[in-house]
Amino acid sequence: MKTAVIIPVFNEKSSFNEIIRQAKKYVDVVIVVDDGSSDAKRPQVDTSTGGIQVLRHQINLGKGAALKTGCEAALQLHADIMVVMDSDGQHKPEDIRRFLQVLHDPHVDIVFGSRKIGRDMPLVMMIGNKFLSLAASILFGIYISDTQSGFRAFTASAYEKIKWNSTRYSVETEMIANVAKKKLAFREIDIETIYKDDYKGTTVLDGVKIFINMLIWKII
Amino acid sequence: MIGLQIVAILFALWMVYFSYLHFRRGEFNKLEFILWQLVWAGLVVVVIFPASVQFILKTFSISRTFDLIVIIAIIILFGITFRNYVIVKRIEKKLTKLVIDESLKGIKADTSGD
Repeated sequence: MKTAVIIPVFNEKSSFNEIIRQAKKYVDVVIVVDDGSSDAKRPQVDTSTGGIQVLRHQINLGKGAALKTGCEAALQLHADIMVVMDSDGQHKPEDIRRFLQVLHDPHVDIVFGSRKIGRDMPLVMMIGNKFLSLAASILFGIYISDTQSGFRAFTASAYEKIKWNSTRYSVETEMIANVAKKKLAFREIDIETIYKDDYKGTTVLDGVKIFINMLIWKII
Repeated sequence: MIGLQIVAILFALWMVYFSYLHFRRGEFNKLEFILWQLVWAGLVVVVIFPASVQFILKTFSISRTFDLIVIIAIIILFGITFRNYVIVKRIEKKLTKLVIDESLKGIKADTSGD
């Protein structure tokens, strides 16, 4: 089984070559998607080890679009399993192995990485996340304890079924909505998360937009 | 009322000029140009001869000509806003597809082995 990890990057310079190097240990190919970083902050990816693809968006489209580019590239490279993770060092590449182990079960289509709720998780994020989990449970009938985690893995055939339209941070929730609609088999695994001060992920406003989108996806 | 009428006429004449400018630049086709000229000419007529639309006011039980103009303006604004929304969405979708397709051309021959 050929495996690929997709890492969207935007104006990220620090430490991510190390993340790529670590991730490469567990997969066949690492696909880095630079989502239109500015020239000054364009990531310099070390591709000397091989098996690393760097794709670049001419303009910034958003995380959802970057993930889509990465997954489409993985399909073109005949990957059977795709892992998506963040580039900011929040996720531990060692966890990729656990995702792949779960996906080796042919009855599982997608694996969600769920961050542990603890002292490390900012309070606003914790409340917002729980609210969205509850909303997803009521609207789509599946409960995912961490709807906003960007660390996930799925089979290529599952990707074909859950292809999303969201170009920005709604992508994670749209995936869940599509998993529910297509009745795909999913699992959740606990992941370690390191929260950084320069957090660039979902904001409260994004959370509100995501909730509105969830209502729209329920209707459509 | 005269003051307001003068302002409305000046505004309409200004927009007639703007429509002509867009037509000259090739941004409006002939049909669009004529349609907009009719809109502004209609506004001037109604402003100078408010009684000319009396029959519309009676039909729809609107008390003043000014109210009729405001109602029509709001309807046009809603229409334009909706059209703009559709156009922006369409362009956004096309742009996203274009950027993704372009970036996928950067895939290098697979060296990791199948």
